[in-house]
Parts: sequence; C-alpha cells; structure tokens
Amino acid sequence: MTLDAVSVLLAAASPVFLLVGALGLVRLPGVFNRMHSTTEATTLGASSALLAAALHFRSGASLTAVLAILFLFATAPVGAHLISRAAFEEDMKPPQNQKIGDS
Amino acid sequence: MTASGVASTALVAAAAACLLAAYRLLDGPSLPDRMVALDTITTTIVAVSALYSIATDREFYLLVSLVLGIIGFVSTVAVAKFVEEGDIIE
Repeated sequence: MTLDAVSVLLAAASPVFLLVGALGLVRLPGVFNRMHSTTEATTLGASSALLAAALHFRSGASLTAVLAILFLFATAPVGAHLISRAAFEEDMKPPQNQKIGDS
Repeated sequence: MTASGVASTALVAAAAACLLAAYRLLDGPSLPDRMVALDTITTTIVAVSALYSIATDREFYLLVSLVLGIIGFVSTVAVAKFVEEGDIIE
C-alpha cells in the first residue's frame, strides 16, 4: 500500500523534472548553460519514472527498471562530457560575466 | 486517482517537455545546441516509455525504455565524434 503511494508520487514528480529541464533548454543562453540545465534534470526525471514503474510492478521487470536507472546514471555524464567537448572544439567558449533574464 | 490515471497525466506533461526540446532542436543556432536537444528528447522518451508501462500495466515497455537508453547513448557518442573529427568509422 505504501509502496503504491510512493510509486504514484514518483510518477507525478518525474514530468516536473522533465519540464524544468526542457524549460531551461529553451530559456537559457549558450550551449553550456543549456546542457547544465537538461543533463541532471532529465536524468532525474527518467530515473524517477523508472523507479515508479519498478515499485508499481514489483516483479522481475523491476530489475530491468533498476538496470535502466544504473545505466542512465553511468552514461548521462559521459554523453554530456562528449557534447561539451565537441562544443568546446567548435570554439564555443563558456560565457564570462553573463546576465540572464530581463535585468 | 489510480496509478494509471496519474501516469496518463504525466505522459501529457512529458510530451510537452518533448515539444519544448523539439523547439530547441529546430531553432538552435549551432550544431551542439541541437545535440543537447536530441539528448534531452532521448532521455525524455525513456521516461515516456516507463510511464506508458505504468499507464497500460504492461511490463514489456520497461525493456523498451532500457534499449532506448542504450541506443540514445550510442547515438550521442556517434554524433559527438562526428562533430569533433568529421567521420565516425576510421
């Protein structure tokens, strides 16, 4: 019963993470700021959705979901590092003294 | 509200996140911007598949999300290598 409640809570929390990450992707300036916003937020969103599914089924499929979470946590930083290295090679330096918003 | 109802509502919000990332994919001024948007869409679709497995009560879609995560990582590595060096297979 409690595990079902936790599962529903995680399923409700995951699109919040996804939306915050996508909002940062649209609003922030520059590649590095956008990557900073999306990498962690979408990883957390996908992991909470997978954890909700694992708690929902509580069978052999839960192991698949936990494996997918471990895989996401291992590969998301590697992928972000590769993208940022490619952006840096393209002479896109991180901005200095930037201002965000209407100020 | 049942678990499948919450998951169905979450699917709508995740689709909205996918659309926001698609805006950056189409509009993004540089190639790395589009790479970041594609990576975001891939991870979002992993979450969509997991939520869909809750909404329809089918365990099969968890395997789909695992495989999509693997394919997404490999495609990110391939595109990053293509942007950096110009070719993928030496």
